Amino acid sequence: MNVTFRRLQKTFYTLRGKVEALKSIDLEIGQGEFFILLGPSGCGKSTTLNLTAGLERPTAGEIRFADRIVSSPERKIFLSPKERNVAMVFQSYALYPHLNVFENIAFPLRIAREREIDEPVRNTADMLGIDDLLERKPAELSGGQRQRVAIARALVRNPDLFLLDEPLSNLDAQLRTNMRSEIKRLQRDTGITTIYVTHDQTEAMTLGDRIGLFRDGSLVQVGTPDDLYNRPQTPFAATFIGSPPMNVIPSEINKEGDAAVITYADGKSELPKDKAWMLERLVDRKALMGIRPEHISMVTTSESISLAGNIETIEPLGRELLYHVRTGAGNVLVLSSDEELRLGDTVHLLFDSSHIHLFPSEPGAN
Amino acid sequence: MREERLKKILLAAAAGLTSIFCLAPFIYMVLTSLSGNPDFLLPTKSFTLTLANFTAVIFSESAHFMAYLRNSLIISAVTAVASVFLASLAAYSLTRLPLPGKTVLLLSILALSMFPPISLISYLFKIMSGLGWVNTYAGLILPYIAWTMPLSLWILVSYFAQVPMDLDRSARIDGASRFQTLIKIILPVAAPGVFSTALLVFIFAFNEFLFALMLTVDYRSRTIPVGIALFEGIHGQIPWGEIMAAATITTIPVVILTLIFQKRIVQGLTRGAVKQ
Amino acid sequence: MSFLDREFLSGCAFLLPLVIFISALILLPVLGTFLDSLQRDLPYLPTAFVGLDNYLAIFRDGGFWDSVRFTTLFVLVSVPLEVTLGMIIALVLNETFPGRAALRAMVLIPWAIPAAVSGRIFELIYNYSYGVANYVTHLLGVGPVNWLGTDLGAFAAVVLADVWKTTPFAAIILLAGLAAIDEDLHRQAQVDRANFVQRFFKITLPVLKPVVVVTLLFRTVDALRVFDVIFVLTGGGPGGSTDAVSLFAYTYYAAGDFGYGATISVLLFFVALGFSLAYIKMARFGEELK
Repeated sequence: MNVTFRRLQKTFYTLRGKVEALKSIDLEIGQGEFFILLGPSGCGKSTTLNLTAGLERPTAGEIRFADRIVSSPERKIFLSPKERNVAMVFQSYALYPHLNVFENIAFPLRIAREREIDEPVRNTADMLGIDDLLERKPAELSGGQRQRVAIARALVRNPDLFLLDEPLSNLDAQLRTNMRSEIKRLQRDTGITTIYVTHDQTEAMTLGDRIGLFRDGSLVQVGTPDDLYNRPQTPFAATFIGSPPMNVIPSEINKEGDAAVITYADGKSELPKDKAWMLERLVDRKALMGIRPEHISMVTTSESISLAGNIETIEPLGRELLYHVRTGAGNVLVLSSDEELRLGDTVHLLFDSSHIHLFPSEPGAN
Repeated sequence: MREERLKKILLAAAAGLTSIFCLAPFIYMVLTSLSGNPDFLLPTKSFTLTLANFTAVIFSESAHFMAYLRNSLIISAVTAVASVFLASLAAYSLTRLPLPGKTVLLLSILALSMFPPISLISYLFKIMSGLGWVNTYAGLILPYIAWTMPLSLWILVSYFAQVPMDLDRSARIDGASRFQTLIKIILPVAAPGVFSTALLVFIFAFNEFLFALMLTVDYRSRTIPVGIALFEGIHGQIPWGEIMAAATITTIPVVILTLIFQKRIVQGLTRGAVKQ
Repeated sequence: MSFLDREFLSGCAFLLPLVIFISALILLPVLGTFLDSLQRDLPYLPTAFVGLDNYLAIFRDGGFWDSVRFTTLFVLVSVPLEVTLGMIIALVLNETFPGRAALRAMVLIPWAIPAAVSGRIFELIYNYSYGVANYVTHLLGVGPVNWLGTDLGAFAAVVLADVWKTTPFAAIILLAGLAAIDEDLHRQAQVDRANFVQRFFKITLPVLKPVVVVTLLFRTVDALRVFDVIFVLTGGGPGGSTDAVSLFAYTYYAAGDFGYGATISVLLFFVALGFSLAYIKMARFGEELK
């Protein structure tokens, strides 16, 4: 089932005044797609999920499940969660503490007065590898087991839409990796359209078919993980996706003969041909240049186009080292396997111009 | 250390005096109920152990003590169940649903519970007379439900507020209605709190006096506190042995309940009175 | 029907039973009592509207002022006694010692016994010829005291019976307050070499002050409407000296004078309401909904 959001808005009124949780969201999620809502806390991603589930009511706009309108204040249409056939997994798992695992999974079936209960419950439990825990109470389960029960309860009645709200954030790192691949497998096997909320970009990159990146109640960019990583459209998307984050450096673009050159303090790069259009859009030639730490190389001898700086911090990241370099253009992160460099060393940075991103400089943004 | 020892001595003395203070009247009641003569403390008399007072109270048709006790148990139990059930609906609504002005509503209801009962009993009596319900169970149970509801509501709201909202949301996603969510999720999860509340309401209804005094006439609905308060005996001399036997029979179940569930009672009472 | 309306309506539906019960059986009777206080409502005369005549009559009624004086004295003596004793018991129960659980259970016994029953127990305790109270005075070498037959004796008797019955409640509330005090405050004070008396007056009591005030107010509201214990123990006697306002109103009701009884009740209602509102404000209720 595909899901469509049209000019979806949500406004809260609190004691401190009006809060625009969602400004105006337009989005289409395809049948069978694994879609990630990504963003920092308070960006509107959970609100979007709750609106989809029918736990909250939009202020304006419309949500459609396939051809059916499920929320539309303008048309005075609102279907309650029970009329939507969605399933949801909560960050806290929300297992019913007084019911054992079997009854937790059976709960949606019992509410729907299904005749077949035993078999679907056992099949689902089997699928998640918790068939030996059916008699236990939630309090007697580990975090990972609770997570599986919550997922089983969501899947047991074949929902049209599967919603997950930060489901892995209460698990430890090892378990999180395991559950991530398991959720991915389950989604592929069942083919249920899935919307998954997270603030963790690694999770988003590994799980999602597509990602919707949120900021301050607006969708900043929608695309595949590859789009967001390699073709970020804003400095925010550039710095939010990828770890360590992309460097965003204030710079200036000038024409030098035929070519255009990007200047940042004492460093320079050629403007890539495919970004020539940037020249037209710039006001007073200022731009933000983005470059990932792995696309910078460090040399010890100065070159005419290199950016000079001092190494301030070195973080070992296992196979590689992350260098924090203070330069005339600000702090720059560099990823390198060079282990010869020491704190305080002066280095010269060379940027790989084929991996440069350029963003028009936003007023007030760094 | 001298201070530590002094503190220990004071503590032991205070604990001893506290237990005497709390228990002495209770023990005196039990002793008198077991004595053939209530004046056993006089130097000229002595204690004579007998169960005669109890047999008199239990088997005397004219004193109706057993009828009063039965009335009390039935009225208090029905009140407790009904009050807690109806208050739990309201508590669910106040903790879960978007209603404007719910704090004001809750505080007004709390203020109601502090009204002096004398300021409503006369008109309540008129209402019940008009309905012909004076001296019936309904005539006492209905006012008791109303009178205990603010207490139930307050305690339940504080327990319900602790049940995570995600459980509600999850139940609603699973297709449960509001009412099903309350019955199948909130009440079972808050069961210890719900039980404490019911227990407190039971004890309050069991101990209530003024309403029962005004709204009942005889053994058909009179409750045991009123029965004991008004019992003067037939022969002029107050039959202390029998009164204390009736008091003991009345008190023992409440005391046992209290002792078994003391933790829950303390919890409920504290929630009903002060917010930490 | 739109969703907001449905949410709102179901919220209201859940509140409905409570609202019906409380309106019909608490608010309506209170309003009815207000109305009655403006009427002449006697069994042998037709009911008539008399405006504020009842109120004017009350202010000239010596019996009413006697009952006001008694109730005021009763509150002023019994409430501080209860809170002081309650504080001592709470301090004891807040320590760890063998038998603490048993003592805590014992403290609840007076609370659990119906006031009417404890009234009768105290009636026997105060019995002139063979009650335990005079047994104790005899052991102390004092002659028998006519507890229920003299003004002072009856006052003391009523106060003591009420203190016995209600101190546990005060103790439990104060104990909850004590338990909520940060342990580190006491440790710090101990490090600062304060002894336990200093620790109580300089740390515990100031920190606990809001809870003490709340307990005082709550007990005041309750003591203002005292009825059961006095009804059973003295019936307002001897000679009306222990006639609490509630009991004074009740005697008019019992005699069929609903107008006058209602007038007394309305006056008591407003006094109690004032203290209740102070209590609700001080206890900072309603915070869990925010």
